[in-house]
Amino acid sequence: MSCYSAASVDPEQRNSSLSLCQPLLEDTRAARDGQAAARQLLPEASHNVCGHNVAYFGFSSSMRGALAREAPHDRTKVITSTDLWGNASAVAAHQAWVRGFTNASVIIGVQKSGTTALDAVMRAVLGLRGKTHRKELHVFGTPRTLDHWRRKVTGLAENSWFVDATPSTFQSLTAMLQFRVVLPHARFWLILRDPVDRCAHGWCKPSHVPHSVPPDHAARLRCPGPFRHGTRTGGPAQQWSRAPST
Amino acid sequence: MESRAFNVAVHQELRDLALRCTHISQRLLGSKKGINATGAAQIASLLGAPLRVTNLHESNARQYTTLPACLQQSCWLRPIGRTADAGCKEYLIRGLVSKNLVAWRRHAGRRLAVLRLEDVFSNLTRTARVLAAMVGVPMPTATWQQQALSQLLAKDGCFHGCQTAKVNQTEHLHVMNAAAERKLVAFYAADQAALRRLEPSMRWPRFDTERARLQTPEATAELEEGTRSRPASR
Repeated sequence: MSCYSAASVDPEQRNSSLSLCQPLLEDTRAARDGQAAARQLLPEASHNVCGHNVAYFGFSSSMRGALAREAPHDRTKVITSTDLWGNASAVAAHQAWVRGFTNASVIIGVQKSGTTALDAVMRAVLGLRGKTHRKELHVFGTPRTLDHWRRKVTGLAENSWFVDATPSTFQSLTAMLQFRVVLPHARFWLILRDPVDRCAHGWCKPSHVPHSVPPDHAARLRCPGPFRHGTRTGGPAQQWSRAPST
Repeated sequence: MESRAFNVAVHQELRDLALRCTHISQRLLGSKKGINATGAAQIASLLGAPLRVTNLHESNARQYTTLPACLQQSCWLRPIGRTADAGCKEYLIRGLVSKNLVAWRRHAGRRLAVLRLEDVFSNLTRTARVLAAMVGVPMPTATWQQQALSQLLAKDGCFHGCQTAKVNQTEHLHVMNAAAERKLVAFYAADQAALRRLEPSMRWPRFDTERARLQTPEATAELEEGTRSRPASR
């Protein structure tokens, strides 16, 4: 399969990397308070789980100093905006790399909604058939530096394509913000299904099921596949199907 | 390891959400400690976007943020901490998508495509064409690519080996009773209404009735539109 790099990307989209990274530069300069900067960057940061304010991972240097005094054993755990993204020149260097790496396709979720199958279709479409393929990379949920991401993404790319189908990405504020900077050209895919079916199917994960089930009883049952649910089955009464008895 | 039946798990997790994540537990929980569909809807309306932050040390977060106590210690929704399995039971909260979708849409704009599971697998060729167009590659024509799509169809859309890996389940764990379904529909109804405003094609029949019952302005407008367009019968 041939390489579809910058030439296949919409020029408008390619030029958008500058505008996407601009708030980051402003954020770095104005990062006296990491939380305030994060709220400016993404208002949802202040409306996190349960409606309570949750801190973003960016802390200012002054706050880091305070942490070092008051909680010296914890200071290595605190990451500042500068630690993550560096100064303006580091971001500019990253932008140059971003312009040359535009082939990224990321399935962000939702869990139990067909992400595995969509990943299989995506890989067929992109012509990727690597046998060491890992569907879920689980890498963008943790803050890392731009240098780290350049090495990681380049190393994980297959046929010049970076493909990830980590379904928990949809719930990660960290991943969202890192994608914004690390892969500003990436295509994102979100696959959804009836949430009631999704909930039931999520509960049906093998890890949630006890192993003490009598095998003769268990063998008669099967967990429904993704599209036996919803409109095709017509109603909740047919949500869970029995395998034919032998 | 989950040892509860599905209906019990739904009820208990709704109760956990009410107790841990809202301040209305006293109103919701009566002498029987139960939550009905109305209570489930109230709980959902009080929850924020289930977005996580990571790598923030607990003690720092406790000192410098306004995290509620449950998030600092043992809540399975907590966004921080050393244990990675805190979110193992999030199968209720992960169905709330509209607020997260707003955030992702703002972040990714037109580069984010939202797909509906049933549409994706009802016509895989069309799906492959859409994917190819959006990523800017030609339609898959190689033999192995066609075979891969055919295999996907033959597997009935599931790549998880459902008939082997997930058979270890008992019947009583699988039954979703009417009460649990009512609670779940009520829990997700407002989120689904918001999702329809964002992505009109994202609709499932189960929520049509609930939407009409809620009598949201959009649902009322749709109903009126339907009444107007219907020919008068004599």
